[in-house]
Amino acid sequence: MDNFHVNANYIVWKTNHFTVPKEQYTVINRTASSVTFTNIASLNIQLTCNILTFGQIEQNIYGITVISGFPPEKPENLSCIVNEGKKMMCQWDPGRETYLETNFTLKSEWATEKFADCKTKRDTPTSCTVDYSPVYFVNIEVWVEAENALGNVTSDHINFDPIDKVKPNPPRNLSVSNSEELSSILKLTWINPSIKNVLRLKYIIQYRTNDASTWSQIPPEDTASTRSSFTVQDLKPFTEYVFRIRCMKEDGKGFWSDWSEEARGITYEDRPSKAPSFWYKIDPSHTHGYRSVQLIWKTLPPFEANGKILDYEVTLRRWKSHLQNYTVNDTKLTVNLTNDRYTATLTARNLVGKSDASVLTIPACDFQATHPVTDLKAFPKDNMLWVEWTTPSESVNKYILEWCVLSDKSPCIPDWQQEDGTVRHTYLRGNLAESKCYLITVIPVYANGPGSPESVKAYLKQAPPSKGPTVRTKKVGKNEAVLEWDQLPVDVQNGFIRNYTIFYRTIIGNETAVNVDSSHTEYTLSSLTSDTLYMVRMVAYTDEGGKDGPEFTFTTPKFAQGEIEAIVVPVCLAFLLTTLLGVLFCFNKRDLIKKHIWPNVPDPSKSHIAQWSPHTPPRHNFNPKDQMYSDGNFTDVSVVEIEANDKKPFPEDLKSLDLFKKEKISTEGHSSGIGGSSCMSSSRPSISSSDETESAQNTSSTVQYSTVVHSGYRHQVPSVQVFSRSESTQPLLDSEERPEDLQLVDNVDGSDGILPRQQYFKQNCSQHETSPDISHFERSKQVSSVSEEDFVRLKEQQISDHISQSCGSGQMKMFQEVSAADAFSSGIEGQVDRFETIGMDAAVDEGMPKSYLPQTVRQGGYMPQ
Amino acid sequence: MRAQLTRRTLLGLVLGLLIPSMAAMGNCSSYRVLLHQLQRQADLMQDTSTLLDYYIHIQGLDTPILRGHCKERPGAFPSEGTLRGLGKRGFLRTLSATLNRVLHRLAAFQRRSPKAQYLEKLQMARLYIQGLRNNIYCISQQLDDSSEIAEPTQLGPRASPPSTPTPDAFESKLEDCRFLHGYHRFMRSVGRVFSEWEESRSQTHSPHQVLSVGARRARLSSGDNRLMPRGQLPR
Repeated sequence: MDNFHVNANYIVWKTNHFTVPKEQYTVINRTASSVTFTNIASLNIQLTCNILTFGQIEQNIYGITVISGFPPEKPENLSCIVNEGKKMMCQWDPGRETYLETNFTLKSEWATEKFADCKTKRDTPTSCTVDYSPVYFVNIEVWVEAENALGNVTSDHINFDPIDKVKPNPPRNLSVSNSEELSSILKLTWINPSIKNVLRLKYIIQYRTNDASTWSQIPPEDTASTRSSFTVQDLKPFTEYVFRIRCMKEDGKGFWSDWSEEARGITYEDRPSKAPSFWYKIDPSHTHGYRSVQLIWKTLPPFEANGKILDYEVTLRRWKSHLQNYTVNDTKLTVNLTNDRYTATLTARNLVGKSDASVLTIPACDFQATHPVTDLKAFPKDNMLWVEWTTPSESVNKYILEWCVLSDKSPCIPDWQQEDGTVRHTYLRGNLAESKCYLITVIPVYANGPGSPESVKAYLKQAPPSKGPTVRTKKVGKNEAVLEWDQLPVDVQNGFIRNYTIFYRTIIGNETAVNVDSSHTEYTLSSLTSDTLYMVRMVAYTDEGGKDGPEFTFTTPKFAQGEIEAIVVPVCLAFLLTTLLGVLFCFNKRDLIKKHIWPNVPDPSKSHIAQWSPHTPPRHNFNPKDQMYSDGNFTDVSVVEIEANDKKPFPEDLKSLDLFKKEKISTEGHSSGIGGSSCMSSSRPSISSSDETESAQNTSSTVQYSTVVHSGYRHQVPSVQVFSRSESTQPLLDSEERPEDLQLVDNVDGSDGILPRQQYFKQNCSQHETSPDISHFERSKQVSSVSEEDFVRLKEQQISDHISQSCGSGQMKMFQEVSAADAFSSGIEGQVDRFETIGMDAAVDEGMPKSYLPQTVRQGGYMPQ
Repeated sequence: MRAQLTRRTLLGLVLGLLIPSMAAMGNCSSYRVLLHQLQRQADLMQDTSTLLDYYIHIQGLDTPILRGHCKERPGAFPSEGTLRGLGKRGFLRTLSATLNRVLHRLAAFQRRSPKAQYLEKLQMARLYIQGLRNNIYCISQQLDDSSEIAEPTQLGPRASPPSTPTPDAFESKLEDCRFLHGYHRFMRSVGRVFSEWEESRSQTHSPHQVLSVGARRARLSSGDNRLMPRGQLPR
């Protein structure tokens, strides 16, 4: 240290490279320093001594490894055991963990001898087996020494005789034998362990029946001394028992041996201890005077049979008659009995003897059963189905309990059992299944025969139904729906149906639940919304849960039943009433209406022109319906269509027209028709002709009164000259005499030859509703001359004609006049529509002529327009 | 009064000397237990199956004639009458000496026996004899000072007849057989003697009780609170 010019103050202690605080240092002298650790957290640390050379540079001088731990604690609970035939083994509690290598040594000695130490093995530091055989009846002193680097410690010494620490080997070759004299005993024999030569033993003997799980034990005081056999008493006859045995030192010092291997034995048979259960069934289809009776009985359980049942003996005795004996190996016997009362007895026989007799009275045919049990109940308990009842007032010999599974698929096959007459409750001793409905019947049996049966239904264990109920609607109203469903079949109920829950909802609404009692099979949902789709399902509940059925949808109607009728009928009645009143009013005021709507028009037939007219065309009367027209009610209109074919000769009637034309030319030259249309002056009766000249002449010579239509198809200029003529004596409307119309006709005539065929419509200014024949006639004419496509065009033309006709001032004037009347505005539209429908109807009427002679207004048939 | 005081002082002095010696022996049981253990040991060791039967079997002597020759040579072991005639100390001394002799003989057997299983039996027999000698030591400690019995090995050779091994192997086997036969018979006699001891113990106070009473008296007189000997602790 002098070389480095340092002293002990320059020593630095480090543990695992961390400097120890200087507070733990102590300077011993100029060259020595010590460090003190009061608590070492780590079990293994590196402690180094360093110096600061020249007061600055740290230099390691020395280092050690410090291993820390605890000294051993005093071993406790030292105990030893001597397994028979093996060497002594001792064990102890070593105390706390020392974290150091600790050696345990088992020491043992006699007063005069000292045995070799027993060193523990690394894997068993808390026990040691000495390497010398135990010497019994010599006390030995044993103790344990524990030692590690921090010290050693010795346990308390224990002093014992090894014979008091013996655990004997179990008795072996245990065997069981029975006695023919006594059916209630079994004799056990065994071979004791060899330690029996050294010490006295006591035993524990346990036994159980073959099917039991718990052991019974022979009283220990009966087996408190050394022995090699024992007779077990009070056993059941013909029953297999299982035995086991163990032993230990008689005075209780030491340890019990392990259990011996189990041994089995069967007690000897005894006579059956009880009479068999005995019952009967009568076949309902019996012949006259006889009945088939099946006697049935139950096999005795082993604890009552007390042996193997060899056969059964049945006796039958009719009242005061001889005895009939039967020996049966089966458990049933079918006999034909008369309708009298019988007494049957039954005994079971085994190798040793017979049982007591079961006696059964089979009543006569006319026997009336009475006195049933009351308050019959059935309930599950402890996984058994219990039945209890109140006994009748009469003395009961025994009870018969019958039960069967109720099912829609299979018939009720009853099982049965018998109970003593003193029994008030019992459980059904059969293989009962869960979720099955059992029909349980209790029959009291009296001395003179069976009593009235009483029945009850029960489940051993309920479960939710296998299927839910299927709900459907019985009736659906605007705000309510009546749902109905069928009761679930018993096979799917799996329990008592306690209640139903109906869930219903709309598509967007929340689900609503309604609980319904299980006795109901229908339910009315109220407060429903009309015209709404509802989804409804139903859940049936038992005590164990529920199961829902399929979802059913229905829609509530918009109107309730009769609601539509309630609205429509009054409206119809009101309409009819109004109509009737209107008709009556019109009827009463017909003169006024007639005067207002149809002004009095003079009869054109009485005019001078009519007289001037040379003749009336024969065609005029072609329509038989004309006879129906009363004078002044209808307007006789005519439409003339003339084929513009120069090559074809005119028919006869047109010749007359030709005459008329010639006459017209000769007298007036170009002349318009006399008189106007019925309602529009511009609409004139017309005659068209392909020959512009002739047509004009013909027309003027044949038509007395007509409307001239000079508008062309699709803005084409009509190529025919149209004349109209009236027989009216009234002065002609001024418009008809306008020269421009004639001029137009002339121009049109000039284009003859371009259009092979021309169509002209007489503007129907009359109310077509009132002149259907004319309309029909027009329709027939249209369809016969044009195709359906043309018909459409024709309709368009009709509309355009209206427009074009309105171009003329005269026409416009009349149109305005007509427009003033409401009836006509609709009439025009109706006319257009009527063409559509009628045209289609007329399509079949191809036989109608394609051209018609100009028609004169019937005498008295002119309707003012 | 003075004489009484002197007797108590002497008894206390004797107990004071006795307790350390008892403490030194450590593992000894009580007199009653020791007597029972000795009797049980004698019962075990008289059982011929432990040594003789197996010896006869492995040496091929298991015939009626040979068995007839396998009889105890008179005088080889003290007779029962002799044992009964001895006092307790003398009996224990004789027993200890005889067992010491048997130990040596069994050691010779072990050296000669080729059978490992018989060696094990011999070893067990020797252990039991040593255990018996341990109990003799203990009970003699409780009877009195064990100085007389402290030299059992000296008693054995004196009590045993001269061992003159015969050159004939067959004769040697028979001699060993006779020895074992005598040994078992001797232990049977020892057991009977011990049973007499137990019977007499139930009629009179045992040495324990004498010592205990003496010890109590000594404590009462002297007020000494030192522990009783472990073998006398009440159970």
